[in-house]
Amino acid sequence: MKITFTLNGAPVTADVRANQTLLDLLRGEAIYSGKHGCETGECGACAVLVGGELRPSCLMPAARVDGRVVETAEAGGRPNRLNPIHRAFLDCGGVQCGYCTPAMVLATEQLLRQNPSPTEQEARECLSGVLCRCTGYVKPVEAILRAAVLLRGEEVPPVDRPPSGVLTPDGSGPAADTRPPAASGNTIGGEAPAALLERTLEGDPLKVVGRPQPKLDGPRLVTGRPAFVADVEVRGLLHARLLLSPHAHARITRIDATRARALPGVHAVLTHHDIPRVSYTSAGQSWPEPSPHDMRSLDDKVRFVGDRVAAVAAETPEIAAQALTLIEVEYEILPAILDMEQSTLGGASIIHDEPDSRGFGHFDFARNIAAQITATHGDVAQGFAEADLIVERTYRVPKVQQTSIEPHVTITYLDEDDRLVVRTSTQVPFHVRRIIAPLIGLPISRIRVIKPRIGGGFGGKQEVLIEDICAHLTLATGRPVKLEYTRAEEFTAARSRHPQIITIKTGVMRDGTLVANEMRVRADTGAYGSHALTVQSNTGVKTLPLYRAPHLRFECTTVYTNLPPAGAFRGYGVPQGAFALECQMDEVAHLLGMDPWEFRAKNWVRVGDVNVLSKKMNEGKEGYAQEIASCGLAECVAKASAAVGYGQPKVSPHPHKKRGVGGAIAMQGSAIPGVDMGGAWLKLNDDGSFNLLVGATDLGTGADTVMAQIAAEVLGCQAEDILVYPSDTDLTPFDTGAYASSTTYISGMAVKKAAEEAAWEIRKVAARLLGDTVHAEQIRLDDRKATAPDGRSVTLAEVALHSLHVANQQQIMGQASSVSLKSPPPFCAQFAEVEVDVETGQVTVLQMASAVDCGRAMNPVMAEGQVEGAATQALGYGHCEEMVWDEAGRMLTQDLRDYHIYEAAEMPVHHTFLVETHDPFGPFGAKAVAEVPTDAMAPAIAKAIVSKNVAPHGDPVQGGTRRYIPITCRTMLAAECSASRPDLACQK
Amino acid sequence: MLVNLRAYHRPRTPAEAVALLREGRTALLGGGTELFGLDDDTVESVIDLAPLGLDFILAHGGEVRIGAMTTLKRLAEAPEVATLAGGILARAICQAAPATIRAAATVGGTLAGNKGGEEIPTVLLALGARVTLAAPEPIKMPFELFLSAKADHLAGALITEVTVPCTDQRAGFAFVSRTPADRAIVCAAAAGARVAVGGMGPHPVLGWSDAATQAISDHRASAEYRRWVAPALVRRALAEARGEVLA
Ligand SMILES: Cc1cc2nc3c(=O)[nH]c(=O)nc-3n(C[C@H](O)[C@H](O)[C@H](O)COP(=O)(O)OP(=O)(O)OC[C@H]3O[C@@H](n4cnc5c(N)ncnc54)[C@H](O)[C@@H]3O)c2cc1C
Ligand code: FES
Ligand code: FES
Repeated sequence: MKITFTLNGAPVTADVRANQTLLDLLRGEAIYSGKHGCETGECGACAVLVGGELRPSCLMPAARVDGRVVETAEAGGRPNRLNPIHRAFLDCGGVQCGYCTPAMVLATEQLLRQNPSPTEQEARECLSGVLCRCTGYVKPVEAILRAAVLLRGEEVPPVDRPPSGVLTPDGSGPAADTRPPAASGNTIGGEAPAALLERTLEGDPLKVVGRPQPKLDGPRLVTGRPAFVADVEVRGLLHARLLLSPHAHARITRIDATRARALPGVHAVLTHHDIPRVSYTSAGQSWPEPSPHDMRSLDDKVRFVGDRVAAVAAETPEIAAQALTLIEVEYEILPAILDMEQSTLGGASIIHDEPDSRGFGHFDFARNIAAQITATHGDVAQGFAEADLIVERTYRVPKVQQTSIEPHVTITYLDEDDRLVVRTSTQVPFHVRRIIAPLIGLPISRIRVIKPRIGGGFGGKQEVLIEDICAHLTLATGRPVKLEYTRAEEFTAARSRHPQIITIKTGVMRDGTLVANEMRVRADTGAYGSHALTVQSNTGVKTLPLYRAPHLRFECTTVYTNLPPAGAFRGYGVPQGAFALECQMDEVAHLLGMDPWEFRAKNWVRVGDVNVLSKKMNEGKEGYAQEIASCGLAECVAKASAAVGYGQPKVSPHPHKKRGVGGAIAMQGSAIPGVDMGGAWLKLNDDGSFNLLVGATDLGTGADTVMAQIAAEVLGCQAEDILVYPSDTDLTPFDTGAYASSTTYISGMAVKKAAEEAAWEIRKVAARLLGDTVHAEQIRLDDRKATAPDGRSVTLAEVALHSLHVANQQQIMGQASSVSLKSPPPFCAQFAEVEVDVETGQVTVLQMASAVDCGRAMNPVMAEGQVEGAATQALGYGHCEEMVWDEAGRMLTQDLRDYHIYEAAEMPVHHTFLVETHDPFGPFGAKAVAEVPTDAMAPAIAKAIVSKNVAPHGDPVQGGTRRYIPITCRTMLAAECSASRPDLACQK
Repeated sequence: MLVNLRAYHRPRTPAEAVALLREGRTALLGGGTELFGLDDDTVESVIDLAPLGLDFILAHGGEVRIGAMTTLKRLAEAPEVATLAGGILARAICQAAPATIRAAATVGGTLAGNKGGEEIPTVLLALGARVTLAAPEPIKMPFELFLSAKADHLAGALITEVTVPCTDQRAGFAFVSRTPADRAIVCAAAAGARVAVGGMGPHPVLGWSDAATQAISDHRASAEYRRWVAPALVRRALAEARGEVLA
């Protein structure tokens, strides 16, 4: 069918197929700003303007654009020709991974054409239908409002956050009396932030670090340039699809792909008969991976609905889909275990009965136990014997999904030397290369893994999920192959957060002194044990030591079930443990008749304390005791609680609604001590710019920009002078990858050291150029110059030209790696105000506050963005996100309508505070920031709904307490609403 | 993906569309927001309803006529709808679907499809809407009749328009959902004393007693919860329709 339409101002004639979508048509026209995030219209990543209206191009028949005007993000500008909307998004930090950004930019365009002065609510609503998993929408909304001002031709103040002040390590001390509180504030929806930091730019010795440098790779993202895995045209590309198991547990007794192979256009069909059987773990961890090796690329047994059965590569996605229907499979159905409490019962079927699976640490496949952990300090039995009061409670947390808007996607091909190139959306390129090598039978040296921009990961891409099978298909066909998950596959065949049942037993003295704390956990790893041991160790090791007690004990059994495997998800075990621990602390305080915050403050860690459990357990081995060298916890609590008015009476204007506030705290780590390693390599160019090659994997967080800031700080230039090239296994040094909050701390330290090495070479050359009287040590690098004490200077460009071309020629460069035995914990406090409709049980979160002690904030705007995004994921965890399955183990939540993540218009007001301390170990005093704010919001919400105001009769101990999340209506049964909540019952 | 979709028809009249429909293995194309998101290998051709001139909103003779190809966005923004029954239809539409979908989805597709939420049909039911089908002769029927046997009515027919009686009577709409922008789990709409309840069964029903008997259970809420919450929502919708202030 011939159609003609206007695309970004130019006429286009195209021949379209009846089932072709506009998204597909645009990609054929080399328009890549429309992204694939789902197939059913929910995510909005593909949205473009048709006739001036934003709509999903994935659902629009291409034939329908005949005669119409289509505009995409490409029309707005180029990286070197940005428009005011682009500028606003970059300056405000409205771009993280950038996958949703083109659609957001178009939404802004549409709004501002019709309404040059939108209100904040209108700005939020214009994003309706465009989901973002990274930002929490705070900064995009700010960007829309700023763009409006710019387009009206009015003046805008620079987006600025004052530079980091340095607090004494414990967040108090001299800093408190010489400076105002060291927090930068930012709110959405509420009144203007009350306590914006008043520190000034003058006097801060740091010029680049600590300032809100806009994302360096932002221009390409706001203009929709082809930056992501799927945004390339590869000649001869085949499309892969996977045949997934319809059964939760079954043996494949016969599989015959003859008919599928005979289908014209099919190039390969692989079943377990066609590839070698090699056991591995998909967990992207350092060698030797501390997860059981219990998977095969293709197996003769399936262990969950969604497990791989076969893989197809064909000329078109349609042919591949059709081929799947032609594969004949017969199954012997086995009894399935869908409830983690039944996994270890006698008579339960054995999920891993194959002889070639290998466990790690303590495990027992015969009893469906993937990993068992214990870590103790002192003797809890003795502690309980001494205690005046013992409280034991059980808590439950659900299975939730990472839900990056870009699904898993990989393209594999053979290069001109027949080496395998894997272009993939991953957090762990180096682990991918090492882990797939034995599976596909190639030496590591014949594999190159490239990570382009990635559209969010959140742990879901710390997994070698599809690279192996895509590579198998390329090796089988000799052709380039693309494999991209659908949204439904993300929910059925990717990874999720381990659900847990957590029992805590606490022994405490009458005066509130903790004597013993014991946490016993049962966790569900699903069908495979990826991260089964390590996620769960964090559940105890990173939570229990938050409160000092002479006797601590943590024990966990992680079991297999016939459900989709769990894995890494931002927070890595801590959100689970923190929910239980923080609820428990309130219950104990309540029984003691103490104020929960007084009780907490009496017992929480302080500077100089040692996390003893971290010595007992670290990536499945003995670890390193961690001394707390900086802690801004008290300041965090003060900031976050004040922001939501904790302790003030909260009254809803509606008689049937009640309001309450809850809060909680958490700590995390900064990298895995003694394991995480990152390398950096830096070289000076003729014009004084630098190439910085790092293994660090920016998964949308802005890590590349932070790396550039660190290098620029040391080298006395601007962040723009540093050209960052990240994570390509052929070109960059090794890095363990983007996980465990390691990037700024570990990779950043490597960059700092590499830059210092290069800076030294620059000083030496500069000293030569400036004459005999000057020594290299005396030279200061600043303002793109090397300056002698007497004020004479040479530019970096002069140094470069001289050293490359004139005399004593050398390439000025620096290289370093970094590993640390210290993992300084960042801390946070999070508070939420909720409104409960007592006639319906509906819970609405009205506002939330997150205050994070992240050491020095390397880039305060980006750090705030990390906090806002994390808190929004935590809001979902506490309030509405939950994977639900039926009695056959089939996921009922397979799209983003059934699995609800927050959208812009419904976001509560969010107050963000960075409480900066100076940590002695991290680069420039930095600790991690991105994970800790996923930890404490869920307990804050759960506590808010049982706060006195909401449930006056809801004695937290008699059953009024929420000991599970999420707080959806599904779990709000009539019985519960009336029985355990007399206040609700009497209103009915 | 509609892997086997190969033919794309653009009929000029409803009769032509119905004739094509009778050929089988075909689907009517409204906005495509449901159809093009399906994984369905049985659809071999689509019938584009856009050329039929069904994109209209006409207020006359005491009723508002809404063409089946009117988008939800146009409907929600139309002045005729803004004033209709206190604007509850517009409110229900904005609650139901995000702006991107409202710009694409049509009224006909929303009523004929199976994935739309409960809000819009519940409100239409309370407002006493009527549906006109072309089969190919026009058949006009009360919305409740259409809902009671939707698949039968739609066999070999298409929706051409929906009529809503104009009323300056107040109306009310109440719902409960997981989060403020999520679709309703249970909702109730009232126009005067006429109440409709959605989310209790496969489709919304008139009156409360019918709704209570059929409550379903799903991953968003249990049947007990639905039964427990529905009376409160009905009370609220009625109270709003009586002019009592609520939120
Ligand atoms: C992310 C998302 C969220 C949504 N949320 C909601 C919600 O909460 N509430 C809600 O109400 N809707 C919601 N919708 C919209 C709803 O699910 C449908 O997609 C939409 O209403 C279908 O309208 P359409 O015009 O695009 O129909 P199409 O996709 O074109 O058609 C849908 C079905 O109806 C048939 N059909 C179309 N027009 C006619 C006609 N005139 N006569 C007979 N049959 C016809 C088609 O053959 C097809 O079977 C949502 C949609 C998406 C994508
Ligand atoms: S809405 Fe089109 S890809 Fe998700
Ligand atoms: S920035 Fe929005 S999805 Fe990543």
